[in-house]
Amino acid sequence: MVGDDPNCHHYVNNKHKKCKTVGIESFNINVPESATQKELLKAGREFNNNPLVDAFNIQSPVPDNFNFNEAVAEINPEKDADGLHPYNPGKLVLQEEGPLPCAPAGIVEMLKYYNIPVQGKHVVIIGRGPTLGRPLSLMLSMKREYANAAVTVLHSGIKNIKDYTLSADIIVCGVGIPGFIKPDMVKSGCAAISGGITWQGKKLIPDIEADTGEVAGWITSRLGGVGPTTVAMLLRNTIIAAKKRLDISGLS
Amino acid sequence: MSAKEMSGIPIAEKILNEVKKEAGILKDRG
Repeated sequence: MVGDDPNCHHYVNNKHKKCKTVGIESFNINVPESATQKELLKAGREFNNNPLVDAFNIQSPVPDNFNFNEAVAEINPEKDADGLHPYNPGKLVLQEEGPLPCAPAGIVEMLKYYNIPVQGKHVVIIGRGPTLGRPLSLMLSMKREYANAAVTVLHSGIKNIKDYTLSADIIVCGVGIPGFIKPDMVKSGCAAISGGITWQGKKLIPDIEADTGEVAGWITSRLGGVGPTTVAMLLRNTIIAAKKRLDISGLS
Repeated sequence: MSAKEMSGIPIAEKILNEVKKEAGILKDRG
C-alpha cells in the first residue's frame, strides 16, 4: 500500500481479513507518501524475491507522485494477483491462460451465477480503463462459454451514450460517477451492473441510479455488489499462483 | 423496484470456499 488513503486502508484491511478466513497468510508493506518511486519499486522486488510470497498486488490508487504502471510492470508476472502486469493482459488478448483482472472476472462470475444470457447479446460497457472496461470487453467478446457477445465500449469521447445503452441487454458502468446510468437510459429487462462506486461520506453510491431497477430486469445491489467478487477473484488468482509454483493442477 | 437484485456476496462465498479448500490442500502438502 502506498500513502495513507483511508479508502485504500479499508480495502487492504478487507483483503487481509478474507485471506485469514480462507487460510492464506498475508502481510503488506506500507510505502509512505513521502517515499520515492525507487522505494516503491524496491518494495515490489522484496515481494518478488520472497519465496514465501505466491502473489501480491499494489493497492490503487497510489498518490500522484508515484507511477503505478511502472511499479506494476516490475511485478513478477507469475506473482501478479491483480492480473495487471503487461504480460498478463497480453495473455488475455491472445486468449491464453493467466491471472485475470479481478473486477471484470468477478462480473463474468456474476453473470454466470445469475444465469444472465451473454452469448449473442449486446453488452455495453461504459469506461475503458485497464482494470475494468478494457479487459471485460475482451473477456465478453471471446469465442467461448459465457462470452461471444457483441460488445460496445463507451467512454468520455462519446456524447450520445443513451443511444447505445438503450439497445443493451447488459450494461456495465464503471466510471465512478454516482447515478450515471438513469432509468430512461436502459431498456426493459436488461441487466444493469455497477462496476463503479463513489464514497459520499461513509455511504457508497453506485454508478447506476437505484430507480433504474424499475426498468431493468436485474440490477446490482448497492452494497455487496461487484466488490465482494473482486476480492474473491484476487484470492483465487493467489491460490492459482501458489498451485502453479508447486506445479499442481486444478482450480483455474 | 421490479428488477431482481444481483448480489456479489453468494458468488464471493462460493469462490472463497473453493479457495479455502485449495489452501487447505496446499498446507497439508507442506
